[in-house]
Amino acid sequence: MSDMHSMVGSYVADALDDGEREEFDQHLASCAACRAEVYSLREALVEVGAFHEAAPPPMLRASILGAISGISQLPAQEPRPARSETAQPSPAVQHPSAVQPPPESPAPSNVIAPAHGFGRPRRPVSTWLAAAAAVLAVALGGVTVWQQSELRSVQAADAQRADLLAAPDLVVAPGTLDGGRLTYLVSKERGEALVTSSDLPDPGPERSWQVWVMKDGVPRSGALLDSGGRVQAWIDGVSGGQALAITNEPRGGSPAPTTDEIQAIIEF
Amino acid sequence: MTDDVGPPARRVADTAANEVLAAVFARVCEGSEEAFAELYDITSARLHGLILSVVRAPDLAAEITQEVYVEVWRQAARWSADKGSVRAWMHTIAHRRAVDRVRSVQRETEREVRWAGTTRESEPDHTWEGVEQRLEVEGVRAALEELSTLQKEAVSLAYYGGYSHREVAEILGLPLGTVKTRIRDGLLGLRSVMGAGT
Ligand SMILES: [Zn+2]
Repeated sequence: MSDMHSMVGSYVADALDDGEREEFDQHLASCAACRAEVYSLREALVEVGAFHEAAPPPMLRASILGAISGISQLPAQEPRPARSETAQPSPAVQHPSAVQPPPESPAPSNVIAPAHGFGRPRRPVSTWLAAAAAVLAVALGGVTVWQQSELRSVQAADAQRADLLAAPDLVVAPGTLDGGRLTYLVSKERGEALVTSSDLPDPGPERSWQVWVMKDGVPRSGALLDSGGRVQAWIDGVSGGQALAITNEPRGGSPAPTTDEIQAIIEF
Repeated sequence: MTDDVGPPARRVADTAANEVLAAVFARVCEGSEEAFAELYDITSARLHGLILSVVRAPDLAAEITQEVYVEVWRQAARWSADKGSVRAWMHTIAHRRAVDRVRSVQRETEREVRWAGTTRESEPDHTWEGVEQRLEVEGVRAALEELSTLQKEAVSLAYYGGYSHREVAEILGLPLGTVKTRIRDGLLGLRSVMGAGT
């Protein structure tokens, strides 16, 4: 409680929970030192922001200007007392009072029993740390250096396909396959996806990695990868799908998965 | 110019730009939609860039950017200097909103799932990466270089990752008090690198 000053960084980083934030707002009202620190940290962060500027999609401008012309401005005087300074009236935005932990996975009993990979709980700490690394990379430019080079190689490899990268609904997600790193790029709007890796593990002798588009639980073959290393697999017809999954199949692929063992899967 | 210690020309340019911004904003407060368009043109790349760096999905970033600008429009007259500069005030709204959204939405959408679809994996939540992010990051990299790895980690998780300090503590396996200190020291480090607020 006496330690309120120490929360100033978390406050500025929006890393307090709602209760703490209110507490700190109250503290701010009476602590000039913290007010000054909040002020200067926020100004500094605006400057840091100059280094990750990213122009919004061009159409957003018209959309916003259209939106505000129908909205009247609030009067200068705030009707509510002091403490409400940071609590903006925003009925549309839900304030999650607490962050929900991922739902506890019931032990996968009757479903599938993969020999490795998906069935057993993965090291939570190291996956959290992997997330941390990804986040850190954002601070350093939004996309990991590794992904940047992946993406550049996409552009270099296939200029025509590369405009997938410009799809407005493009999602990019990292994944792993048998210990190797993958990147999934999916645009449902374009109905296209790309799975790319620079260090894909070898599928094994007389084996292939087969990528499946999952539509309503039914897998349809999307691409085959006969070797590891640097690979790019383009997949069409993902529009109606919900996920991409990868299995290890006999060389040349299978009309339907021959194994229940999903090596990698990404929902989109 | 008397200030020859601070980071160079950019600061001077910033000062001029801030004056322009202040004038534009004054007109916004009077209800000028035209001025609001100017405000948008001046501020949107940085604001959207911030939101994008937190939420990472371009469509979501655009959506939040729109919400923030609508909010800025509505609240403009309530801005006052004690809330910081106009930009800082806008960034505060934007960051708060981006973090709220990350916490509520992203956890839902970023999960690897079992093939059968019934059992969700407890995968890391923050895995989307915004590809539109510009590579113009040398400055940030240099700025962050000044921080210790530990501070960098804490600041990145909290400020860019949208994690609460409690979650950061959990992720890093550290006492909450330590994490608070690292976030704060990290931000103070950034401040001194940026030459702001001194
Ligand atoms: Zn204080």
